[in-house]
Amino acid sequence: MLRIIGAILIISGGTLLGLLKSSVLKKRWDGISKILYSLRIMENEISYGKSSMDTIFEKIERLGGLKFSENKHENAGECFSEAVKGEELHLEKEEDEVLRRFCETLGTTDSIVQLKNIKTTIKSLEILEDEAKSGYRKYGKVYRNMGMLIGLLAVIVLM
Amino acid sequence: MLTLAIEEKNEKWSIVRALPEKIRNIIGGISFDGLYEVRMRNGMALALTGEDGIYYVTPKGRVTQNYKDGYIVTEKDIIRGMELITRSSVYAYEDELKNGYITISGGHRVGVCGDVVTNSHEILQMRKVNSLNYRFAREVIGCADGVMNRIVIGDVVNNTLIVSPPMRGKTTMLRDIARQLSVMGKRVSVVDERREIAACTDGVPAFDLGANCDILSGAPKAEGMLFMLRSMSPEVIITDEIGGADDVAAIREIKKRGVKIITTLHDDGGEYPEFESVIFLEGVGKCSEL
Repeated sequence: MLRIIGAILIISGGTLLGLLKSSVLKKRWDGISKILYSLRIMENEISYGKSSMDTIFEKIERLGGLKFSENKHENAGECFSEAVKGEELHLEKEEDEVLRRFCETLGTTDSIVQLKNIKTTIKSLEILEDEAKSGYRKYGKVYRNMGMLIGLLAVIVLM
Repeated sequence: MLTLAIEEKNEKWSIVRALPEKIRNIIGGISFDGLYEVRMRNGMALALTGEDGIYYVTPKGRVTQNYKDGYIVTEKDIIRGMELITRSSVYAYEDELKNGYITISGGHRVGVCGDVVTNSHEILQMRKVNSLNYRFAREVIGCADGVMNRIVIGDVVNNTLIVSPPMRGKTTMLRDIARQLSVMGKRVSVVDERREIAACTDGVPAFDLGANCDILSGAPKAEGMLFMLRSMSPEVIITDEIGGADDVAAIREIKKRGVKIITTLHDDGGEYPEFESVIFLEGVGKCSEL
């Protein structure tokens, strides 16, 4: 009886690990999509309304993008950076670097330069989003199955 | 959230919130009564302009007349000041920056200068800011009491021009005239190109302009006056500091439609045939000639 319970626990543990690893890939993809969605709202607001950053941040949050209301910064770049850090987006170094460059000049230039900066960031993040998407499609299922199989293998070996 | 957004309208010294924190702390103990300006120049002493001249402020917050003892403004102070006055959104103020000033909440005006990018005949953008001049706006309710009997005769409003050199209170008086006419029940349209008369923030005026006042903020005067004429069916149009030929053409068009105009002008010693009343100002509420 104990053996059966142990085997079930090992298989469940392996499966869970696989699922967790797979969900990290999915969260990275979702995280990049959420930032892209927020940046597209920002691009529209600056292009058509020249709205100030506080108004844009409110709108992004209201429309389901990044959340800004709990961070207290007077500098738009820090505010955006904090909003990204505040959520569990599981971003990797490449995304962090793109966003660091974006935040450095956020709100400090005229609209032409500001929009160019947003467009460049969107392009870079779209490439990374494709990478994250294909990574998830390629490895997500593998991790899920592998987790269970490793659990099963461990049970067989131990028995 | 950007904390400057919580700046309260009508707060007496809301201008303080637009000063960098370091400068705010330095001048925190100084009375602002009678103060006209706070000037920040990169690498120079922090200066205050009051009724009786220019003063400097030491790093410990004491007022001195010796500029060598003054707190030296740093580039960081200027950058922080720009972040605060533009609400960290320079792109949203690029037109104002081309004109050299930004009007902040409370109607206060911050003059900006530094290195600019130009083409052959116009300023395209401000590349680097070196100086900020915070000018205090004041609401003086009733400062137009002494001239209202010249502006409104019976029930008829005269086309009126207020003339004076700079910093004598033209805008302050114009604001009170708008309020008084609005309170009288006249349909008043204010064309507030520099956002100084009503000082709207997010569409809400910082100053009291009465219940019958429509405000168009940020539009060029000539175009704005004709816009209000078409859209709001006003009895009186009020705008500040006319000057160009297109302003005069717009005023003629307005007069043709039977709508009255009240405006201001820097004293140029000229003749003003378009106006029935011309008021020369020596200071807020002090008129030398009617």
